[in-house]
Amino acid sequence: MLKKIALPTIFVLLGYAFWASPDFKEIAAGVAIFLFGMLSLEQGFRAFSSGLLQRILRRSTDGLHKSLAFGVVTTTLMQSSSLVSVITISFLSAGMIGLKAGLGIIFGANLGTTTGAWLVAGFGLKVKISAYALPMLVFGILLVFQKAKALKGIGYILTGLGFLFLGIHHMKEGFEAFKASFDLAAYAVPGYPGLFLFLFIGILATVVMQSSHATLVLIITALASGQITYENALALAIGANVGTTITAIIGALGANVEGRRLAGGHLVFNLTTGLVAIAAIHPMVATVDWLSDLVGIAADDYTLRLAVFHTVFNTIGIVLMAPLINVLERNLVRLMPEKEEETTRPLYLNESALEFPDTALEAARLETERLYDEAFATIAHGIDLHRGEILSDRDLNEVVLSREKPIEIDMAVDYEKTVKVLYGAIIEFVIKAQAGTSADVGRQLLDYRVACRHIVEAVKSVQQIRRNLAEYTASDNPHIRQAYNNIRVLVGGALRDMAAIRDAAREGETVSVAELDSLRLEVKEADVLTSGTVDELIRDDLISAEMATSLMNDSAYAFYAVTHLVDMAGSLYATEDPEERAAEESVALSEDEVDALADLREPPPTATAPRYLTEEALASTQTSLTAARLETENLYDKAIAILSHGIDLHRREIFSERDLAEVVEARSEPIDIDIDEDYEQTIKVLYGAITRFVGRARTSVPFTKGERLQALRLAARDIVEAVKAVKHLRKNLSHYSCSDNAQIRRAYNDIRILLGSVMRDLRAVREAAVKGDSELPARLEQVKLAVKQGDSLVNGTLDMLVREELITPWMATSLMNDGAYAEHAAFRLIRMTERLIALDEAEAPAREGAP
Amino acid sequence: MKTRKLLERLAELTSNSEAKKQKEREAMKALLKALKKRQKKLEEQLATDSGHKKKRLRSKIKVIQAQRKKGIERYKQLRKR
Repeated sequence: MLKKIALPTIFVLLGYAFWASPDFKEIAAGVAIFLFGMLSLEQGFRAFSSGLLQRILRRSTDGLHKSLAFGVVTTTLMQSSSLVSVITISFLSAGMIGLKAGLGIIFGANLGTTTGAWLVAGFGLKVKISAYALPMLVFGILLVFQKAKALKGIGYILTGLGFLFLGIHHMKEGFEAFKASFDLAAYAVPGYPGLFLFLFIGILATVVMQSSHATLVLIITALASGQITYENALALAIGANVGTTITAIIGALGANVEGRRLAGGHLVFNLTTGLVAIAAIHPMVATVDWLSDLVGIAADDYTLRLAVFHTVFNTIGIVLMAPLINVLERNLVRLMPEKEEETTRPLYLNESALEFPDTALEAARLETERLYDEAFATIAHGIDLHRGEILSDRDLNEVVLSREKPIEIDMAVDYEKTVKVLYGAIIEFVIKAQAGTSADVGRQLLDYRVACRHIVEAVKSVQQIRRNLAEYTASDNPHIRQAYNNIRVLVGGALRDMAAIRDAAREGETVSVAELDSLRLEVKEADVLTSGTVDELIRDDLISAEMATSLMNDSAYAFYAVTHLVDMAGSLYATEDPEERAAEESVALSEDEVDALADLREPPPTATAPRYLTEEALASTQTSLTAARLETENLYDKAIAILSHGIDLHRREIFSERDLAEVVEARSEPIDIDIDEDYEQTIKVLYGAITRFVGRARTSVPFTKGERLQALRLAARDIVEAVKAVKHLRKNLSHYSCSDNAQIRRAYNDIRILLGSVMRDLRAVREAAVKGDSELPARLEQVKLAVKQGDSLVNGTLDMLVREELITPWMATSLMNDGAYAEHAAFRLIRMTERLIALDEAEAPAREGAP
Repeated sequence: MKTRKLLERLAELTSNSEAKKQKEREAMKALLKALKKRQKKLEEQLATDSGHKKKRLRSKIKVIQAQRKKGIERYKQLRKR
């Protein structure tokens, strides 16, 4: 209520005061212009804060004397202790400096701010600075309109200085005129009552204006025009010093515990200094007089003497408090302890860190690393290993075999309580930070966001493995046990490699593109399908069909987990240099190239089947190839039905001529299906059968035909992956498609349209392939491009929804995950189509040559 | 004629796009050098290591060879531009 009437009341009071006193209007306008100048100055310095400030900060705050000097120099340059204290809180919150260094900077800033008093008292009132203000404004504004960031920054600084000078001029003029009509000095209160009264006024004025600098300029101009007495001015200066802590306190409200500790330290310092100055006001005035006489300041030059006083009492504050900085730090830590719950809440992401690009970047990086740490532990426990075991030098095969009991862990709970919470917070923070940043910073933030997504996907992949892993590592069948232990070694090894890459990155080395591709190849070669392991196990009847299907699925999940970890490293630890990065990206191997390298070794195979996969079909190479092809097509047809129903559409709707957006809008009721049941009853059975059939057929066919059979098996796996991805996104899709929130409903409908369009386009591509269309690669590229552009993360839809708070962070996380599932499903279907088309092309000459 | 060529070369050097291309070429050259060095190091290790490690080293060498092949092609393209 009070808040609501405060602003109109101030407006009315000011309006009346302006009407009653034109002189007061001039003073108030001076203050307003001065504050605007400070804002402009701040904006100008922010333009230079990217990178430069961070570098300076790191080098300049590793000792108390250095941090003190840093505070003095930066505040002298920026002419705002408030700005320096807010910047310091941001850096502290982002974990870039320690509390002690932060306190040092704040102490120094208190001394640095006294230079403002010297400038105004010694220069501002004696020279007609308004003469410089106007040219500065003109040049400044001209530069503000330039494109170059540095020139723009200089423009803002010049404009800021111009406004500062203009503001001082108006205050001066106002007080001069005011003096003629009204003498405030007549109301001066002598002695300690006056001291406390003006101390309070000083605090109040600074709290209102949020700038001790502005208050001090006001005091000096009022003193110069004789509106207040020298003693009252001293009390006002002390009050301004105490009042300035309010900016830091407000800044710390959005900061983490470190930021709050610093604001507390700032308050302690300024309060102590103020109390000492009040208690020893007379000896201090005597010291000021002695010093002023010593440097030749005239006895009646009260403005310069006030500047001396300001410097003296802040210096005394530093002399008193600097030796106690360790005690202060300890007590602040004791009084403001870290809350235990912060272990699963973001530690580095807060409003203060969003203030500057550098702090936002650093906070996002630190929180991403933290997410990775949490994910590392979850993944390690998911494969029944401890973090310490993975990071040790022990042979992982030995470690895996030495563990007898599984680790008790609920991965789903760990994911919900830790990984998902941090992921959601990082995404929200990064989206906010990306608004208005430079392209470079934006790109880096996007890298962190992508890294987070890979981390989450890796956790989710291991989560899928966990269920069977717990069962089969305790199985009596040594073969399935060994196969699952191999998966554990593979994922554990990847985590170990990631730790090594991270250590290297911390020492300043960028991630070697060679290492990442080697890992990709390693995981490919370890895949039970491509390595032939599963074929061997099936052929020799060492595992059941059910075990084989689970093993194949989980091997694929392990593959995705490791691939996501590798991609995470590529995003998080990649070089920042654009040319180096482009060079590394251009030599990085594509999925096909890694496939080609992995296929250099030769696997053996054998097995049985349902609709087309009969014993007779195994009679010749061509019949087995045709049977496998027809069964894969059969699997695809069944999958299309499940995929369509999974996105609440019918096949006839998808393959009709109707606009998919209209079809999606028209359907209000979800289709009642049990996608898990369909998967188990249809997809899993057919996939298992194809795998076994191909395994058997490959033992007696020539190498090239064997490769074609293998391609069919990989195509079948792509289909299975697509169905599983839709199975995952179905849960939220059903929920949000009926949501009251129109935005999230629309976003999920976009996912439905995207997947429906992909199915429709791929059918068109396959029909064109039959007709011998030569533009197939281009058409497939178009489908891929449409999928990429349809991703809400890439096309900016998600950013917009989060930024404008149209959806909750929870919805955003779900949308992001499901967007990734949709993309995965779409790309698997495209890949499957590519494999089938390539197969047709390879088969064409044989068909043409046949009698 | 020579002066004209010289002027053209100067204009190329001062233009932003040429500077960018130059940087790209240099980055690719540096990367190829680093990959070659790494391959040599791995080959030396391959001669001394045994068993399980050898398989891993061979796999890494295979990857670097493929990357270098791609890199050399790209470098040639960059030089032609």
